[in-house]
Amino acid sequence: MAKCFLHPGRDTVITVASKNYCQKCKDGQQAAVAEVTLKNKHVEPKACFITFKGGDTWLPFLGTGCAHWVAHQLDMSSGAPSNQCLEGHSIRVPDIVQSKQKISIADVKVSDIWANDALTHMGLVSKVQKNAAADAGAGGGADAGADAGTNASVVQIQITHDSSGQGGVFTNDFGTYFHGQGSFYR
Amino acid sequence: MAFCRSVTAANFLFVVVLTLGPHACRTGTKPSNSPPSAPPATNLVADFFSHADRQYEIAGQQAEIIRALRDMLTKSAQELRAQRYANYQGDKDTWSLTDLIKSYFVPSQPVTDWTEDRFYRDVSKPEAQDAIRKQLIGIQKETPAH
Repeated sequence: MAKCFLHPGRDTVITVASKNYCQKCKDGQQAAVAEVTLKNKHVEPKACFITFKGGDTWLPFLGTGCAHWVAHQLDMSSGAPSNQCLEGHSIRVPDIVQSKQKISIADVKVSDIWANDALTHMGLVSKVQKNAAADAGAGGGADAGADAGTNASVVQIQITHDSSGQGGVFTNDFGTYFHGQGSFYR
Repeated sequence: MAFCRSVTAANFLFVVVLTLGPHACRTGTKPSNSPPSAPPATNLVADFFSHADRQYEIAGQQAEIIRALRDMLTKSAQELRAQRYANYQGDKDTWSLTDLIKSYFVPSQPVTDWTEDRFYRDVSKPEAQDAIRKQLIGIQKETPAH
């Protein structure tokens, strides 16, 4: 019988992201997920926002869930293993943007990453509305984040993000809600 | 006279060895019997804030984090234990200081042996205050996402 990934002396009762876990791990994981549900309502997905602390102890990750949600959407696993969720996805904003290139706001497409300048929050571009006439010839050329609200070709960008302030995954306007601040990454 | 002094000193050392000997032996064997969670010498608060990123979204959250960092620089451990802060949604007097820290700071390396007692014991020490001050300077320069 397969053995627990963390406790080789114990039999496996559950497999998550190709790793086997014993009954005590399963119980610890369930208790930690219950704590996420209670204290971190905004986090999505909740079932994997937990980390092994040694012995039989599992705890919720510290911090907000914005990077974790983006990492799940893009199937990203950058950063140290200790900073990855139970399913192997990143939980820190810097770990996600460090492997990406900044792009101009004129080039933004759906599913590009957005993060504020301080890298304290992030989300994904879920809608881009462009001015067809400007695209045809008027140009734009503004740098990402420099003057997003007045860019000639991009009329509106919507950002979907795991919002601790609003308590879940929400879609907000880049120009108004986020004040046109931050950079886009691909 | 000098001979007497050296004899007295030797007797004194002998008595000291006899007195401390058994205790010293126990102390010497203690590490192998102590649990792995015995408190390490590092300062928990300094270590945590030296390796933690801030993750927050809105101006109200930023203001509450700044308030907590300032409190850690000015209030006693007893006062800090009694302090309450607004949660993610801005509901006042909801979180303890450590609730707030765990909600907005993401360590870049695993945090071991975090206990409330260790946190409040270490928070006022100079190395912790330095790390807190650096976090405060950093967050005051930031513009929140919303």
